[in-house]
Amino acid sequence: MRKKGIMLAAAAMLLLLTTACGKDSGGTAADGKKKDTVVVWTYPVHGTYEDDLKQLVANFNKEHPEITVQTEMLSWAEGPQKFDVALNAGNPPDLYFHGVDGSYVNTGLALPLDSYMTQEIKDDYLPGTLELAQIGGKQYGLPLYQFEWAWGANKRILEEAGIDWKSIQQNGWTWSEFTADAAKLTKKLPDGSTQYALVTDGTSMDFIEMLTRNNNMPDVLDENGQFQWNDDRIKQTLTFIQNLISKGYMPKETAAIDPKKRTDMFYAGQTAIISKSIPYYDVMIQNRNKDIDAGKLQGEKIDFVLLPVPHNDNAPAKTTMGAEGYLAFKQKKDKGEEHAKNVFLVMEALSGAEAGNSANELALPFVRKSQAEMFKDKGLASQETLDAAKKMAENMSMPVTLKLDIAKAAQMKQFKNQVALPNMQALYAGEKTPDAITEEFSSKGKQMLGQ
Amino acid sequence: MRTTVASRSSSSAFMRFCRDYGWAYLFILAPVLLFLVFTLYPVISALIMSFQHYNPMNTTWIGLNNYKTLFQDDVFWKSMRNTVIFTIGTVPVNIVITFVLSYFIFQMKNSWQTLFKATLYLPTVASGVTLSIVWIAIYDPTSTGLINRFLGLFGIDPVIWLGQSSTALFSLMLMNWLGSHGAGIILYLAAMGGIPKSLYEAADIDHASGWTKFARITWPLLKPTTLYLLVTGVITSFQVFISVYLMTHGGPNFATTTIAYLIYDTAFKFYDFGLASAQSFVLAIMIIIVSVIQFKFLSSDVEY
Amino acid sequence: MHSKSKIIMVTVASVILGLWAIVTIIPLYWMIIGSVQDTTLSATYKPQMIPSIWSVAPFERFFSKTSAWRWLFNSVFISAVLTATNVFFGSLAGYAFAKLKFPGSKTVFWVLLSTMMIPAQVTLIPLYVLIINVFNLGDTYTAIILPGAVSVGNIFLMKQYMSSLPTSLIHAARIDACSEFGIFWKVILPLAKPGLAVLAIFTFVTSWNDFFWPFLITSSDEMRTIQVGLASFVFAESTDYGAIMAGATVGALPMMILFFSLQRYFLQGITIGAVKG
Repeated sequence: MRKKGIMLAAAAMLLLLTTACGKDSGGTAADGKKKDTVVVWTYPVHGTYEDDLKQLVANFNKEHPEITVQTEMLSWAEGPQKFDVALNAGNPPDLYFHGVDGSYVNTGLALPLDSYMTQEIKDDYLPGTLELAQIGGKQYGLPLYQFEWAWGANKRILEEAGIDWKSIQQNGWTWSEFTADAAKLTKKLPDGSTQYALVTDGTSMDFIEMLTRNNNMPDVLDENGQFQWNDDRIKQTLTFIQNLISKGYMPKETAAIDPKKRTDMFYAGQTAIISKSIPYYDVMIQNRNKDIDAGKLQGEKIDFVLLPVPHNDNAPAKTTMGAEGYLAFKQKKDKGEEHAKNVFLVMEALSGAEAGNSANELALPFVRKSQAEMFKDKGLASQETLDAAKKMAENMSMPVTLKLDIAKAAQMKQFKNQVALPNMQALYAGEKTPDAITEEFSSKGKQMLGQ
Repeated sequence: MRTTVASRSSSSAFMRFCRDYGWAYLFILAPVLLFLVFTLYPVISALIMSFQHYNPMNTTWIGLNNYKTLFQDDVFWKSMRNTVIFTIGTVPVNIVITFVLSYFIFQMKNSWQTLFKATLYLPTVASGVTLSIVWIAIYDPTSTGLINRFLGLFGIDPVIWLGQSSTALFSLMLMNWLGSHGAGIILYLAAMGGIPKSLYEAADIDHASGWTKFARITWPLLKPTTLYLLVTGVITSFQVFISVYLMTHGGPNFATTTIAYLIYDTAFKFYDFGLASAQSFVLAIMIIIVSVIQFKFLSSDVEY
Repeated sequence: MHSKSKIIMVTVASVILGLWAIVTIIPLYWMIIGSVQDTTLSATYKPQMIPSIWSVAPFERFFSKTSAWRWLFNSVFISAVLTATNVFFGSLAGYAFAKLKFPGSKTVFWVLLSTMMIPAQVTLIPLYVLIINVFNLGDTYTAIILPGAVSVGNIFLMKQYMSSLPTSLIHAARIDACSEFGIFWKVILPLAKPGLAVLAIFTFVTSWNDFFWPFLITSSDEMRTIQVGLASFVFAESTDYGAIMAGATVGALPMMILFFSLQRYFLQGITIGAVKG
């Protein structure tokens, strides 16, 4: 009887202990001096990236069988947070897919790559691309592609309203021109619902950031750290948005629309233009059309048009761009120089010529000569979209965070989260006027940014 | 010689102590160990952290700076206000709703009692994640949303429930009103069943009115249950998180940022673990003060 | 006259109760009904109160797009282990506090109980750092289970329940030279079965529905519980209303079935230990 009880207690303990072995935490193998494991956290960069990655790793292992590459596919929705948590606990993966970020460098765990970069690697990068993964002149990442944010439109709706989208792709458009076109694009549909000219979401900063860039403000701060969002330029931008909502060109429930809903409305033909798109949408929407043809999905087929973001009448057009690729990290329990070298080997293997398929699939500008070579004339997007993307890349606006010192970049991030975003939500909901918001930006800017 | 005697007697005393109480200590060993590792250590560690600026590689001691920062922070005071509004708007309201529903159910026949108990209890077993997902759909700002469709029947325009400061917090409260009295109803019914019938019969002989019976018999005898619901309700609603996290992210314009959500945001968006720890201690102290006050003022005749 | 007013009162009460019950149940009805309507079939189709097209396609899509089977397994496993540890250690400690006299018993009990007032947010960050950096247990079952292996609330519940059991039986067993653990195992546990059943059910439901800790401590897809996986599915830019509702249904339905099959324990059990007298 007594034994039985002890047995049970022991069994319970055993259960707890065995579950402790649920997952191997990686690390180095015990035997063999050169064995090493490199942990990679990445994303489904493009549709078939998971397969591409397996191939890249397999190729790498032919040359370096002693290095195990452990990959983890994160989801776009939660991955950034998972990574931030791991980083701030002092235990980031060796390699992570993202744009370089001052807050990463700030932890002291980002690994500068300059000592590992050979001249050969440097020469392979196209001019201006390596700089997109540097902070304070130090290389923290190897770019895989240059991203490009634009607007996207439903060709049928544009043409029904008589909008010359080809000319817009080539020459851009001003806020006045856009407002005039928006009036033509907005109408009541037969089923009683409204077709809007433009839809954006009320939860993120992309929309206002893209518009302010097109009104002479590179970001909340410029690259010298000067506060930008405190004068007429921001007021004009806010007024422009307020006008679009009050005229009914954008839905008045914008504040409660999330990115998901925004896509929904675009697919359902409830809006002519979606406020954030990338050239890859062309490919995605082509695939969606195929699904509709195959009967897997029902709905209206859409022809996609990539559109530049309109600029204020007296300001130059700017395209929001940057680079994404692999970044290297060390851990709080540093695994040493040998390991760091291995990490770089893996990093280069995941960023080489064959990895150019990501830029190719996404219809984005290549970053390496070898990649451009390998994927020449293999693009998947329509020629129109490729041309438009190329045209827009001429007006590139560099991310200011690459030039800002880290503390300033952190302040800017805080300003965006704690002041800018809440005020944008208030603007969308009609709770605050552009004047009041400009005033608040200005006073909060003094408080938080000291200027 | 003397030492051996002393040690032998003390060791036999120890043996006796073990024999008498050893089992008892063994029985509470697991919870005590878990308490030491997973509660006491983290609490002390959080307290220390609240005086530091956290950085994975270089944590520095900054004294009371985190506390200074938080008391000067508008968002902190706003979240405090939201938490208090949410608590006042849900706990007493829910207790009144729960009480009225229980009172009604108590008048029913047994089979009906079971039906209503089961129906009203059902939402309690659904997870916070599930309920939040469903309520997001119900509050959909366009005319697809269930509530907006219902309002549409009366010609009322769609309301942006979760998207504007004026209705967002209320929307979360409404969701809370409509699905969290299952447990309360069962407790009240059990307590109502425990009130001796003879008390009411005696009141009937005195021709007491329904109200008098309620005010003199029912309510006072249910006070322990009410206090229990009040204390647990306040503690829970001070920590409301999941619905805020999933439905509004604390927005718009901080209209639904509660303290628990602010702590999460500070810790896992800005990774300022020090400031987050300071915020969490302020929350803990608030909860303790409010709980103690409730006990002091309401518990004279309640035994736990 | 008197009985007439009573009839009116009962009628009014029934109507109010009925309406309230309907309003309470509508969200769950809306969820289930939304999960059997395929909104992707047509861009303009809105979910209806009484669907005109029935379809299981949303469920198929939810299961094919996610690792939901794995998540369900994780939830069942984690909830089962937590139930076992809580029932065993909770009743053991509850029995010790209720029936065994030992120095410091009151103090230890009150210290444990007072931790219930400390909000989870206080311990969250150090606990996280402890599990990830010191124990190196990030993304494991152990990390999800260990901090909740025996909750103070359950010890309290069991102490209240055990106090009501007759002490005479314990004395009798002691005279029969049973060991203390023998008494607990042979005498107390069989007597406490109804209480244990309630404890088990509530622990299982609470563990199943728990979101925040598993969310924080897991990072890979295959370690998620159904609640964590569900939230991630909804957050991802998914436009599939039907599949989202199907997921919500999958997250809640097992507990609803459990509730209906063990209704008696749910509806009576909650009174155990909550309020004395």
